[in-house]
Amino acid sequence: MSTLASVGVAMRDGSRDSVLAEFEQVYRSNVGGVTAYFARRCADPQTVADLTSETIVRAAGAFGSFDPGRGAARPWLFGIAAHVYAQYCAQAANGRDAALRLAGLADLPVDEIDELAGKIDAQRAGRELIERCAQLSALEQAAVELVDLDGLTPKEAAAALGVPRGVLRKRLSRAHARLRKGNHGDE
Amino acid sequence: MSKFEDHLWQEFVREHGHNLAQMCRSAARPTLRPRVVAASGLGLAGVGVALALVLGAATAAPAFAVTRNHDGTVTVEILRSAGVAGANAELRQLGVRAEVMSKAPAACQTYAFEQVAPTTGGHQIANAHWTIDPRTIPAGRRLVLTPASEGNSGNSGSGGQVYNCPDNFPYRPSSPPSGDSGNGGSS
Repeated sequence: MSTLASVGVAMRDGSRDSVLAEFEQVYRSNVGGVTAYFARRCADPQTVADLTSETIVRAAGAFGSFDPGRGAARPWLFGIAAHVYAQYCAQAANGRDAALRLAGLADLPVDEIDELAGKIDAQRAGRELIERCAQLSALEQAAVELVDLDGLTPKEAAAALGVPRGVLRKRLSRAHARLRKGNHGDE
Repeated sequence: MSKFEDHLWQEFVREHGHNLAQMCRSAARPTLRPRVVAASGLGLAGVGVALALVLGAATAAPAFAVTRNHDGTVTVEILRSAGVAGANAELRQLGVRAEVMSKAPAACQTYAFEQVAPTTGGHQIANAHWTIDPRTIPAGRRLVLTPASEGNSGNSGSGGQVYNCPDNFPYRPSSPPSGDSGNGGSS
């Protein structure tokens, strides 16, 4: 993916084409990362598709209030993705995911299911890293994932998680140290 | 982009391109946020789209969710009492004349409301949700959503209460109880 999202977007004029074009740039620059984010968490391609779709729809709904001066689009999108996933988990805990899955299965073509299944397979290393992070706090887990797997800078990850940059850096450093220690312990 | 990502973009433009157009026609930035964010055609069709939840970190539990459903109804979920203020703010943002309160003002009447499906229990506003149809709220009136009161099973017989109140009633802003930040933040 390109680094367009790091540059940010701005609504320079009021034309529909302009806003669509700007949102499309954000989409094309980041949808792969968002899909990978969900592919690390879900074994079902349809669920990955649904959650990715949901994230994009919500991002579009909030695009008017997105201020590129306050941060890049990429961490902004990952913040939305994190909310979408948390809500999905809450719904699943309430037994409401059954309807979601039934509603979606018929819509995704077979070739796209295969494609997403491939993405899920490709995220195996990411899933393993997340599993190794189970010993870490929630913030440390999220920081490791956003920086080490999704390629955000610590500054962007801090923005996505809504924590001060210094806190993020400290936690990330501590997390890496604990992971290294865990690795040595395994050997 | 992959086939899925291309397909998703096409679906998005078809389903939500007009939302972006509305967004850019609005002059004032605070009004750019659309009142309704519909779910994508690729999934979540039976679930609707949650418009807000309070979340501090990627894996923290949400305190509330306000969801615009596909049939025009709105579901308000309070998972922790700290989410009351946020849910009410979101309802105001959506222009829905409804408010979650611990107790209805004296000027209110119990509402016989077919679309309401309260499923609350106890006197704490937590793990409670209501589904209301904003289109059926009479002009000049406001719904007050409260947890169940003992001996009163609510309209649908499942334990919650919905009250029909004057819209101009001097409502006090809901505030979370002390000791609970309401944002589910974790570290």
